[in-house]
Amino acid sequence: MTDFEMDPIIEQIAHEARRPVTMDRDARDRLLMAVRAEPVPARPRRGWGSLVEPRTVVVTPSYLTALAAGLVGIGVLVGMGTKLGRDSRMTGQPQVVAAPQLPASDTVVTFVFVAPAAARVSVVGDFNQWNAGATPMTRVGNSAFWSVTVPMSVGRHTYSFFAVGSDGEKWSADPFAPAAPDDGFGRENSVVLVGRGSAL
Amino acid sequence: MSDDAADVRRVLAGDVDAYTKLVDRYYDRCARFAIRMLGNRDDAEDALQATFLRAYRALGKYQEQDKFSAWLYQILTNQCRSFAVRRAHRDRMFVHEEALLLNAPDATPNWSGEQEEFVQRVLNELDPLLREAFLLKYVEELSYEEMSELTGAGVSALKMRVKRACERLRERWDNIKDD
Amino acid sequence: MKWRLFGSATLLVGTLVQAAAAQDSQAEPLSSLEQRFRVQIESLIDSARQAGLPWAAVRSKALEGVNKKVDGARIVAVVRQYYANLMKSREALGNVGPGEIETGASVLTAGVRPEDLALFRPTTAGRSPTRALVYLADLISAKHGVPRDDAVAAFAKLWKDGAGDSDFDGLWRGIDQDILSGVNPKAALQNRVRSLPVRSMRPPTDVENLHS
Repeated sequence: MTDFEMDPIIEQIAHEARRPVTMDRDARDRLLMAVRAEPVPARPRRGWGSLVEPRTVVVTPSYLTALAAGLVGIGVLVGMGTKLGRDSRMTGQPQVVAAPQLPASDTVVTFVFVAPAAARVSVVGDFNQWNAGATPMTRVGNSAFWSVTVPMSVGRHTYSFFAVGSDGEKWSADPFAPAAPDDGFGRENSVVLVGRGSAL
Repeated sequence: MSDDAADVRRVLAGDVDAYTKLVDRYYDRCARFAIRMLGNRDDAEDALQATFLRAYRALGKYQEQDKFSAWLYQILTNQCRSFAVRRAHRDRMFVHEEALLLNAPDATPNWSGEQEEFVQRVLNELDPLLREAFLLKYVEELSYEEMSELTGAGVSALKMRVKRACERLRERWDNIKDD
Repeated sequence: MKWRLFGSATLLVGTLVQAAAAQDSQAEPLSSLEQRFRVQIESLIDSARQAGLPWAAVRSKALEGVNKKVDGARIVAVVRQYYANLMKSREALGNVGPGEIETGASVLTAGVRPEDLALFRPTTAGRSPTRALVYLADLISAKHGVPRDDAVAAFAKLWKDGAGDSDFDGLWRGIDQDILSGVNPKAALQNRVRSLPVRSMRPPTDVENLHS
């Protein structure tokens, strides 16, 4: 293996991870008992189908519900009368809200980030020159949610979240937004598309 | 004909004991992947149970020109992935919470313990997709093409995941060694 | 009185200077780069300006590197690559706006080939491939891992068949959800594309544009 990643640390980790593990015999015996209880498998009569059917697990978005619950508070904070969508994907994404005070062509975007243990969080992107101090976010009550509302020009923007805590600093992409391609600097960015009064 | 294909044929012909042979051949190796992937033996055992049962039921669909291990691992990785998703909901954690939490709950473990346990902890901190890619590449030692076949993910995405996994592991290792 | 004025003036000047300095460090964060790197970056920004490419995006890329505390040599390499991608993007997409050129460049960074990017040239006025391209780049990224060629083929076909923003929105959300649930990325793409509502997706004609 001549991959560039194979430095001594990775070698060491891989070596340890390759150590064989032994499960107790009970587990295997239970499995074989279960197998014997099954009908003998048969070849399907028609066609082959896919090798393994992709299982579409229906996700009951409990974590997204939690997010929505937190976002209700944010909706009140923003106070723009935005209807927080039932679509769980939408509630997690930056919300685009038409701001009454600004000229009609301007829109604002509300960024939301979850960081329970952070001391400071900011949103950083092409709209604020990637200045980590320019757009600090505020924690919503005592929750794990941080938010800020920012005026943004129409079009595609890239951004990231910068969090500082007792463990140090961390750049994070937005898990609910489309990923921007690799930034070239070893970090991940996200994309927000701002249309006139419409959101990604 | 490989041993695997021969055993599959026997099972389909009604010889259940032939399945025991297949299980014996692959159990420990699958167990290693499941433990490294899920981080604990209980979950790994459940995933293994589900994997070998599903494989048994679907044995009729196995095509002999494919590598049996690849076919089995497709089921195994799927099971581990489902487990991770279900566990995330069960623990009421965000699927990406590992990436969001800045304070790891056990920030100062006893590193003078076994190396293997230490490595497992470091692996546990990785995003599941990164961990999966790392394990397939460096523990199962598959090629990127094999990984792509197995996971249905693109080669360049897999390479990026392995690269990021290595970067995170290196960072974490350095942090810990500094303590 | 004179003294007080002087005092205030000093204070005022002091404040102004401080403010200016603070402005400066962020108004010209490139100044924190080593001279030899700064020169190369500014030359690239200049070339972009002269070539009619979105030069602000080139500058933004450099600022990103500076504020992410990356070393100068790497910033130059990344910005150079980005500049090259902006050129290729314009070549591939033709007469589009700066936003589209930037989006195209990011898609090339994501690994899409220039000849494939060209499949997204807008054929009618007012139709922007930006949204489709943003989703495409996301789906083939490490985050979702859909195989590149499968994704490109599917999206290019939808684009050609006249799919609109809301079609791509729904498609992306569905695939994102499926992959999050553990579905194989390649299968997720195929399933969701196959299950797109079949409706008339002809590209809008000029007559329709008049009324929109």
